Amino acid sequence: MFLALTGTLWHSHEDSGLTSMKDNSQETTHFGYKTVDKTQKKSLVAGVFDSVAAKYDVMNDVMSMGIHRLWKRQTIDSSAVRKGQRVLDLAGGTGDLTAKFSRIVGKEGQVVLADINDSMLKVGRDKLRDMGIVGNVEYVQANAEELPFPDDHFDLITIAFGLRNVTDKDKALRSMLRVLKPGGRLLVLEFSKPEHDALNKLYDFYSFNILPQMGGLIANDKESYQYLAESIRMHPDQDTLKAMMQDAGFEQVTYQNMTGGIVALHRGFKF
Amino acid sequence: MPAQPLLNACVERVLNTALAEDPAASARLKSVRGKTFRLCIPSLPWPITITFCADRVMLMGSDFEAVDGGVSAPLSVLTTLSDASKVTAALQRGELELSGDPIFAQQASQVILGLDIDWEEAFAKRLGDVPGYWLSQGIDQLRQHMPNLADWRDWAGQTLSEEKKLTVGQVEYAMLQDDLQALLRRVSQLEAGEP
Ligand SMILES: C[S@@+](CC[C@H](N)C(=O)[O-])C[C@H]1O[C@@H](n2cnc3c(N)ncnc32)[C@H](O)[C@@H]1O
Repeated sequence: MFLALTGTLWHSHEDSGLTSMKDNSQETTHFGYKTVDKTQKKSLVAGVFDSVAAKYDVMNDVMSMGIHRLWKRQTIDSSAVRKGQRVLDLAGGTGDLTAKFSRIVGKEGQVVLADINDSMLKVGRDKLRDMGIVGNVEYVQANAEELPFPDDHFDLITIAFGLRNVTDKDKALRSMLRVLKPGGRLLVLEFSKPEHDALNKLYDFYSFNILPQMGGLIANDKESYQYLAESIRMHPDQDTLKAMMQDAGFEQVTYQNMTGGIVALHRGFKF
Repeated sequence: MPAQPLLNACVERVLNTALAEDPAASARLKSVRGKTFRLCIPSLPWPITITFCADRVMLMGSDFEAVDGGVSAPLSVLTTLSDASKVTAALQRGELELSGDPIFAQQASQVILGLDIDWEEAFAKRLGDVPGYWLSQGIDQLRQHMPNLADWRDWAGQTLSEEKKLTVGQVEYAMLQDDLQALLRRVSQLEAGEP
């Protein structure tokens, strides 16, 4: 379950030539359990989402059995967002959170759905228009590491299941801090580390046995799901991410585990 | 954690389906759009937090902080609030707590209490004519045992005008009177059986 949130992220991993990459680059980063050149990860990830955009929502629901919706609900609950505010849904993909925020901030407010990937943005825009969400949503193609917005611009920034895909997470966090208004908050929803051993084992079994099988059956792509499970294990755990947010300059950083720590919601403020 | 968001998602769906069936709902929602109301009933495991949007409501979790107003009272007290004197007495006894703008509390309760749905047609659309008819009959019976809408009108009207007049500005008060007049007309129509 739940892993499908990024379920097909690594879809074109083999096709993209990743296997032929060398590990001797000076600046490297993780791509699943593999180490790749930093300069290549961005385009690898962007390319991957091109191929999955159209079926992303369906895969999310099937593979998570809908649980991702509850995690997103919890994110909204922690947002304290109000009518008239300006919200950035970063790495927003197909816009699940944007849809909710748009209704709360109303016509006096604004939601910016930003994503590095144009295909995901297009799917998101069509979906939101079909839902009747127009007028207060802006779609911006942007890299989280270099946000193209003025300083002190947003009341709230959310990044759901996106930070893991970003090459330089520290740089991205600093960029988010810059565009956040003083008093504003950042919410990071991301896979994390299960709290209990038994759950960890169950999760491992699901990730490395069931998930790839399901990936094979549903998306005809068993290997991608193997890489997916690996990439989740490479993401910083709760306390590491908390420290990263603090290092970037966020204050009062706390986190809340969900589903036993499989997912965590981190919250930090700019003062 | 999952129980609360799951239940909220279900209740939200039911409420929004009901609101979509009521042609007058969007007008009532307009007055509270963008605001959040919290109802605290001690016997419930968590408070009911509703954010009003242009054409629907969203049920928020208990963590949601941006709340504009609310009511806190045991269910036993809430069900007896059929007129203003009882509201006043409950407030004085400390059994009922009102936070935020009382006009908002009245408007928020009207969004849900004012639901006027042709249940038979609504169910028939989804379930077919015969089950739709039986279900709508059941709901009608249930309604007969619920507090009268006119009582709620009195409760809101008298509480606001007599108890809270001093805290409300002139313009807001005039708007409230207009709203109440409109509500009165609507209730009279309903009681006369007009559409
Ligand atoms: C798993 S999806 C999450 C989408 C959405 N937030 C959700 O929860 O359903 C991850 C998204 O991150 C985007 N992304 C990856 N790297 C990014 C970057 N450096 N900057 C902005 N977006 C990025 C991808 O294009 C993709 O749409």
